[in-house]
Amino acid sequence: MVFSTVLFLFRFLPIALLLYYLAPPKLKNTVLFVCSLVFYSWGEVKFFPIMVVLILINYIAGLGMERFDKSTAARRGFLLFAIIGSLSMLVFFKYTNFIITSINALAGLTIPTIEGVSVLPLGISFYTFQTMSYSIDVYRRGVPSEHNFIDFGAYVVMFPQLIAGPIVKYRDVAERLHIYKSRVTMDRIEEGVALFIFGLAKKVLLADTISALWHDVIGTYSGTVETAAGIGILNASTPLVWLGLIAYSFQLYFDFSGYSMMGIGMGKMLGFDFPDNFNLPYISRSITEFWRRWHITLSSWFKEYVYIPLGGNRKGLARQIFNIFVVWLLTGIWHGANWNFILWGLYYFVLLIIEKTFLLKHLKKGRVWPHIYTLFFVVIGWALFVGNEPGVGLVPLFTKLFIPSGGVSCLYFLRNYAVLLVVSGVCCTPLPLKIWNKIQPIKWVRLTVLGVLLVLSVAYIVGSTSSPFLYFNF
Amino acid sequence: MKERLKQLGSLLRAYPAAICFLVFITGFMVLDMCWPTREFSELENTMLDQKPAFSFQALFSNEWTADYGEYVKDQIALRDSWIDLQSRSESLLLQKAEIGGILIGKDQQLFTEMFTLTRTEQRTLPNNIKAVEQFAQRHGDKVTVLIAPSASAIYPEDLPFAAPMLDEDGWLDQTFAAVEAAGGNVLDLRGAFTEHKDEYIYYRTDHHWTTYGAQLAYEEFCAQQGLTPFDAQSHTRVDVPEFLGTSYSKSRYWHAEADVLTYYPLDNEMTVFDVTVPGQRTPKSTSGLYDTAKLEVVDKYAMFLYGNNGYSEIQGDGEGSILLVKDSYGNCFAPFLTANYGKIGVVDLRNYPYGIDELIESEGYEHVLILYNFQSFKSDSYLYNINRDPIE
Repeated sequence: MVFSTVLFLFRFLPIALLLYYLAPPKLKNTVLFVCSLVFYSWGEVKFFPIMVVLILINYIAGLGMERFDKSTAARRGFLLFAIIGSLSMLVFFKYTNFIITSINALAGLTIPTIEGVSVLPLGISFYTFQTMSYSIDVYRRGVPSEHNFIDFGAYVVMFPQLIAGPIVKYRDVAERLHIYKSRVTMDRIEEGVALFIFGLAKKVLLADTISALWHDVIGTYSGTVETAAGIGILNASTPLVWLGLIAYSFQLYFDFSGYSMMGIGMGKMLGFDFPDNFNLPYISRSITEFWRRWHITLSSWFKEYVYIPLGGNRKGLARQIFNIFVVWLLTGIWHGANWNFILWGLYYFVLLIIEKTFLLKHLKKGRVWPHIYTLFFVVIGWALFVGNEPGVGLVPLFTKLFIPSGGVSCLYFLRNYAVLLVVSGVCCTPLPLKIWNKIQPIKWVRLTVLGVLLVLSVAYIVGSTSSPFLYFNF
Repeated sequence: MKERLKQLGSLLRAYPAAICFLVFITGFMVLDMCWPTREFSELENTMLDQKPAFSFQALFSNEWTADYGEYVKDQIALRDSWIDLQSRSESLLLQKAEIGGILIGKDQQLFTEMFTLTRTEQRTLPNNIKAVEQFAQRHGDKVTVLIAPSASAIYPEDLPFAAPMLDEDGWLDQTFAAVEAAGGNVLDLRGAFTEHKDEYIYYRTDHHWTTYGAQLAYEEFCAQQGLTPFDAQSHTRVDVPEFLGTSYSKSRYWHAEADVLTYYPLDNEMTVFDVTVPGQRTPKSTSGLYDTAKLEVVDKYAMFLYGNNGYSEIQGDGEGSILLVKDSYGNCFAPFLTANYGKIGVVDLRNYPYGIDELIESEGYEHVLILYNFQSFKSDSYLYNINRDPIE
């Protein structure tokens, strides 16, 4: 189920919230668990058992590590069981066919790909990371193991963060998960509603509308079938392709951060405090800073569970560079089973190493050029990122971007999307938040702003052909 | 009770967003569940999804859940108002020049966005040119090909700023050249339409030409064939206001100016045929030329010829016979032909997939007019049927 649908807003969410609020304290996690399972199974009913098995594996591993507390070997065994259990599911669904086609291409073989894994279980990239964080933390004795299956299940499949994060570590929510009685507070609901509406507006009013510009260029596709004609990368002029790519960069940010915001907001409505996931990434003055502001929970996951265990920066520069390389290779692969994502990850590895070795100190002195530098390389990064989508293609895209050539002019599109482009630009800066903080103490103003955004968002949800979440297949 | 209300009041004052939001989503859900369902959205001119029947098979194939989501979206309470609000926001807040694939031109003229050919059209359009060319090769002088230009080709200056429309002129030139080279006649209306561009040739809210536009085209045809045109002066003319066409349905443009649909009541009879086997035509129904019931609905253009039937015959008041092979542009054009021919056959290849050589021969049609507008000519995947051998 996607958040920005009539079904979610006017069926699932009110029913789930009502049941949750009305349930006696002891049953709250049960309600949350059941509702979340319905949410999860809605898109792919047959993936229901996968979720149950995943929860069971990690639940049992946690109990096992506690039971055999004295035996390091047994604890290692349970950890391996949990990690292999989680990872093998992720690898099977997400990477099998990529691995097969890659082997076929490299070795000239024709191993058949597996049918039926073309659709990923909803949010698998996110919740497998969450379960791993649990098992690893229990192994490290960072957190006690969870004894209650329902409570643990509610954590893994909790619907607000299931599809698109933030990636919530078990220890982040363990405390609130066990407060049954006064978990839900009016303060949190009030704050959560505002976050949810802003997130929804970001997704529906900004991401989906500005994405139309990018689709005007590349066309609209359902799978690989073109449903609406685009200008075509090759027919577009170089300025138009740049404009389209900028629109895509806006879309990606608003889409993903909007979804995270909705997730965090609904978490608050349920009485949880999820970690922030985005912090105005496009105002960064270096790539290093960008990755501290973009998809924060993923970066911190890799840092905590990969980079530091590998030795971090404590084993000399060569080892540190290798560790960074591993992290970015994995970050690339995590984003999708395709070579362009691996390329994208390694691209950031190179940029970050360049900054680490000498560029960062110069960037700190600059005022304007570090912003331009960062945005330029981030946008080029998104070109790599989007390169394997139908209608794009890395070679035509980069040829058009960097070898100036004529074609359909960008003027009409600049005019048609002028207001949206300006609004999008402004919404990437701290300005809207500043204004909001000024006006939100005035209750009727706060209510009006939120009301208008909500009503407009619903109008756009009803009026547009629905566009799913960009990170849906991640 | 009073205490409770007081409590609620202070809660509302302290947490207005929380209370309003929860009341809104819950209240609207209840309203939505009580809201009557509709089969058809007249303003959008589209069928709406109905509640899917539950079955475990549908559930496990993920169809039921997907269909249920579509159903809830299609049947949402106040649907027309939501869409109206979205369309208004697109043009008033976001200042968009394009809404739902429709370009908002000067003087409320709505144009179909055609920036490029889809991948399918990149194959279909050359195939269709080839199809009419081959047809002209077989039938020569007997054939006239009329491809009506789009409104955007006649009024480029009314399009939104710098709209990068595809080269319709180039494609029309290519089509006409191919037909002429194959020995057929062509009717290129661009000159005549440009000359009359100050008049009401195209609907503002619909992608079709007006009855007047069709009449201009018809007069050009008469001039080419040496016929005396239908005398509009001696006929009653009926003007039907409040026509909102397909371009309106797609864009729901808030400032759209409704069109006036014109027709000339005629008592000629039309017989619609059932064609199930090639060569066998059985009369299905006989009626006049106009389905006046359609004048009551929003999409009034559907009143001409009772829609797109596979094969029908109109009794004319003139002599000889003509076969009109057409898309929906032909529907308001056909009535004029009654002035000149004794029998007018009308074929819509979308519903007549049998090839028409047999029809021409057995019914003895003396002339064939192929009439399409560019927009359907570029995308119609049934036109190849025109050359189909019925025995295949």
